[in-house]
Amino acid sequence: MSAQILKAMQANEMHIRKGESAQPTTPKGGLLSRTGSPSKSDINTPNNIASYVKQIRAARNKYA
Amino acid sequence: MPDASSEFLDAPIPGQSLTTEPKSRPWEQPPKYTTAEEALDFYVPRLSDPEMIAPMVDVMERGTTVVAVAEMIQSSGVMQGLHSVDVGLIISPVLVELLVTQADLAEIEYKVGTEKSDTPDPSMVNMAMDTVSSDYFDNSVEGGEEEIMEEAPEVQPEGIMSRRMV
Repeated sequence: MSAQILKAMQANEMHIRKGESAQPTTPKGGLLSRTGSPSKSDINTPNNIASYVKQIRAARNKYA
Repeated sequence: MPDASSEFLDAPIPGQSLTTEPKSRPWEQPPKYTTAEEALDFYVPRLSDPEMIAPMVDVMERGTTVVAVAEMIQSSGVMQGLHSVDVGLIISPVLVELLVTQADLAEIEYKVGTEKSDTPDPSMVNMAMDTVSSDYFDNSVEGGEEEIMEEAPEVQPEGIMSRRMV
């Protein structure tokens, strides 16, 4: 299972690198949503996961 | 220290899952959270709670990798019927990031699990040792000293029903 988790992390890193040039994404749903009420429709999960990771890293760089 | 053989012995025996009533286990029920976002809504507050994160920080400080802790968290979620294995794998990068953040805040030394280790892979060491040992034994045979097999003395049958030699 650890190997699958590492693959998921690598895939997420690739997704983040691909989207670096694009506008920063904000989750449309979930706890870290910046758009108001969490919406379950039109959820782009890879974008959301990448956004979660980016926001957590930003918070870590700021506070930890 | 656990090795591969002990993990093999810890595995369930074939057919063990059929020894309980069907759909009596939480992971045999439909999961509570069907999307990664819902699962993260469940995990993020818990992984931000100091009381809940403290034992995990202790485990990471003792040398367990962050990936292994994340695996344990999402596996326990699957076993509790919170989410499916797929959702657990999808949210695992976020769990790893949260755990790394908590470890940084706790100012401990930890291993993520993606580092390249200085020690070689045990399986590669075993393979190399097998190659070296086989070469050694092959050379000893190729040394030219062919052992002459002594012929075994012919054993005469001594039973009651054996044919007499005249």
